[in-house]
Amino acid sequence: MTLLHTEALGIEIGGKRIGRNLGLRIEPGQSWAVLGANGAGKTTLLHTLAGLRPPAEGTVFLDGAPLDRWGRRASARRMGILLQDSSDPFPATVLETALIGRHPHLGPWQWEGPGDHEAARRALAEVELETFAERPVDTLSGGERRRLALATLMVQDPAIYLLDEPTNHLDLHHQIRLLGRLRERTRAREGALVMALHDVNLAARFCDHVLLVFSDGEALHGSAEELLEPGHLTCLYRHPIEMVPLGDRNAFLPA
Amino acid sequence: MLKPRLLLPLLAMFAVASIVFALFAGSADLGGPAVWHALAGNEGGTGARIVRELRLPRALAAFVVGGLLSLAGALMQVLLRNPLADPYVLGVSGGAAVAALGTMLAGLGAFWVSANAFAGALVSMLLVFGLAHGRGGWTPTRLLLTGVVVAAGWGALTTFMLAVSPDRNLRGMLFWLMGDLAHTSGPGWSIGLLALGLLTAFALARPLNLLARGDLQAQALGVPVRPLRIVVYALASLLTGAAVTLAGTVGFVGLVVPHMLRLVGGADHRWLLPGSVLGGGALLVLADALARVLIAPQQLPVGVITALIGVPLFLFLLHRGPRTGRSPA
Repeated sequence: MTLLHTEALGIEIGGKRIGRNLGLRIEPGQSWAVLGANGAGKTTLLHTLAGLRPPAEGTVFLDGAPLDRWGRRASARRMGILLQDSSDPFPATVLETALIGRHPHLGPWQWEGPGDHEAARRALAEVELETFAERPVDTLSGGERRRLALATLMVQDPAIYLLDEPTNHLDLHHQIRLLGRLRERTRAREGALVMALHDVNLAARFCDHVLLVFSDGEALHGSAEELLEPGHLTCLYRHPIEMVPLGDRNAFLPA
Repeated sequence: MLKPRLLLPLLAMFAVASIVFALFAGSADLGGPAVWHALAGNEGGTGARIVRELRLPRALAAFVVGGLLSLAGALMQVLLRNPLADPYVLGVSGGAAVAALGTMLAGLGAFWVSANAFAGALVSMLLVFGLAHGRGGWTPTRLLLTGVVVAAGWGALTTFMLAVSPDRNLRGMLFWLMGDLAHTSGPGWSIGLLALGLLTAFALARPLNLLARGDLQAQALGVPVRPLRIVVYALASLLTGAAVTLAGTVGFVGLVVPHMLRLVGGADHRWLLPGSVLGGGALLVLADALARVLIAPQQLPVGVITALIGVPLFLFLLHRGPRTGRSPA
């Protein structure tokens, strides 16, 4: 069954319409890249898919049921989002932060048990932060915080990962490693990955589908093979982009 | 960082010790046996009556006021996502102050001062809620700005009333504004409110942990953010209103106790909220006992003492730096 789909979806930011009549279908095992210039509406679109804001028109369906009929906690067990930035005005340790991902899985009076701690430690190990468990979050670097946010999302353990610029602040090793791990994870459990990216080459490497959000509000979606080509990308970024064959892949370079 | 499992019993012991201290402190020098007999209720001497009818009710009232303020402060800080928030920042106490001083000016008795103070707190709470709610989002910043501006308005009215009051009223008014437990007959119904407030807040503790990390993050993890914020706002306002009704605007406790506890034991609200009640209660009991005896027979407003104890303690904890070995640099 389709994991996440939209019907006649339209979203609005400050009076500007994006993606009129959008009908996305995100199927199990797929990886989607959302590409677009700054301010094109990638974040707003992800927030709308995640149910953090209502669409201007149309409906988002999760597992075939309209998102607004899902309970918040129930939908948080199926679908999780990595926000673009996080702030922590209060002190917290790395482990505590990872553990908040368990919230939708716990009853109102339930405390995190050994199983939840185990899940948190596993996720921290996946992002190579296992030795940081007791460190206060405010001593982490930007990239380490980003990895912690990803670990928190893995602890939440949704089927659908919505990622808003997941590679921000990450070094090359972690960009490749973590996107690879996330793709394996979602494929293994028949989930899906939807990520807003700025790096076309990461999109080409990790995604089988793309959604191009143009600055005029138009949107185009389809298979990565078809849509990741210099013509569309040049139009998308309003900057000439060349495609250079590189082994069995293609590299995209700004001219 | 100490474990909450260890900290909560420590705080409870501190609370009990502060109450025992308050029972012994006072101008009448009562020995251990007198206090013990008074508590056991098997002797009717003057000493026992002082303990039973004056010191114990006052110590309990101080505990409740301190607990209410610290709990309200902890809630307000997470609601506004600002560690500098205190229970008074949104104008609840300002509304109460205007009503209380107006009642004093009208020459009505202590009962009406309290009743109107509570009513004033509620009016202010609804006013700020209505104004901040308005159209569009109910963000922490919008709530904070609305509350601060309304509080400034109340402050102007308070100053105006102080300026036009006859001299004989001024002392009472100033003590009310600085926080004073001298006219409290006992904790009364507010013990129940504190217990109920703590229970409610405790039930929301885990969602509050998420709310502290931002509305979007909380929402994404399944917290119904909007209703939660409304409940927390109403609860914090009610607790503050009750505290102010009992003892006027005692400063500092609500700002600093939750903050200190976060430095010592972390920001998990499941420990922070009960910890705040115990710590804030104990601090105010101690401060009030000192306020009674430091320059006896004269009494000091308790707010002076809370700040005198709290400031150095707080600075020490802050200075101690990060809770683990590595520095952020």
